[in-house]
Amino acid sequence: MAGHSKFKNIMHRKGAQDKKRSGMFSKLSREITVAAKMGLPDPDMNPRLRAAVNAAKAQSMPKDNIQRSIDKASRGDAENYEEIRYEGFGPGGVSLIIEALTDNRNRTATNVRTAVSKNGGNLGASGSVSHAFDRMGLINYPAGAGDADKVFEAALEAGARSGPRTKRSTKSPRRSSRCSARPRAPSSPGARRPWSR
Amino acid sequence: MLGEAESAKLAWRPQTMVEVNEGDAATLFKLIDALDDDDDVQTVWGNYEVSDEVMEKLG
Repeated sequence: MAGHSKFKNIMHRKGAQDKKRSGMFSKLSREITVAAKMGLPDPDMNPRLRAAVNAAKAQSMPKDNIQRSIDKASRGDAENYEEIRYEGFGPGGVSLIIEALTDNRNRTATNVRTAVSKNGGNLGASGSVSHAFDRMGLINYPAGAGDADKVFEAALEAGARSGPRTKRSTKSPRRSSRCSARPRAPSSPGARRPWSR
Repeated sequence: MLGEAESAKLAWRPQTMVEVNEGDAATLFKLIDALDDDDDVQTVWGNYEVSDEVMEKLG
């Protein structure tokens, strides 16, 4: 077929991957900036920042990028991000919770609404979906950390509410444990929330 | 006991799951991709469950 050379395919795929990667970095960097702004700009003193930095490292985000995102928080010119939660339904009656960090509520609300409604879903009122979800801590380990029994035992000992689950489909399977999150007051969308994603 | 965790965060865990068929799953993944392409969106949680066969068909 004309125009369907193997090289072109590779180029396309690589382009898509690069886009995915840079998109991921900008999300990770935004979370780091928000976390650094909310507490001390030192990962050792700021658990949310620590989690954000670890997440970025896990995706092999360069150290410089991470530091720049932290520094950005202490500069006055940084955008002010707020945390917003959208709730809605996808095709087949699936419930969705969408967490966003934005410096422009109107833009994000429009984009999220469009993405959902263009693909067979619709957004609901706040609370319409989240009541059927539990807010819990989630701790991920690489699958190599131990077999299912060992992870289960560790989870049990640590007081987890539910045991390990293996996530498939990603390159490296992970085992995760859930613990109950600290109780929190119900919040309206757009209220500032002290927890990270 | 397990060494260092890969990540620790607060999650939304669905109380009940919904099994989605092939057609819905394809649209659903398009929806999630569309949300994911938005730099403002950090995480999308859902109560969908997709069987291995459907997953394989969708590639």
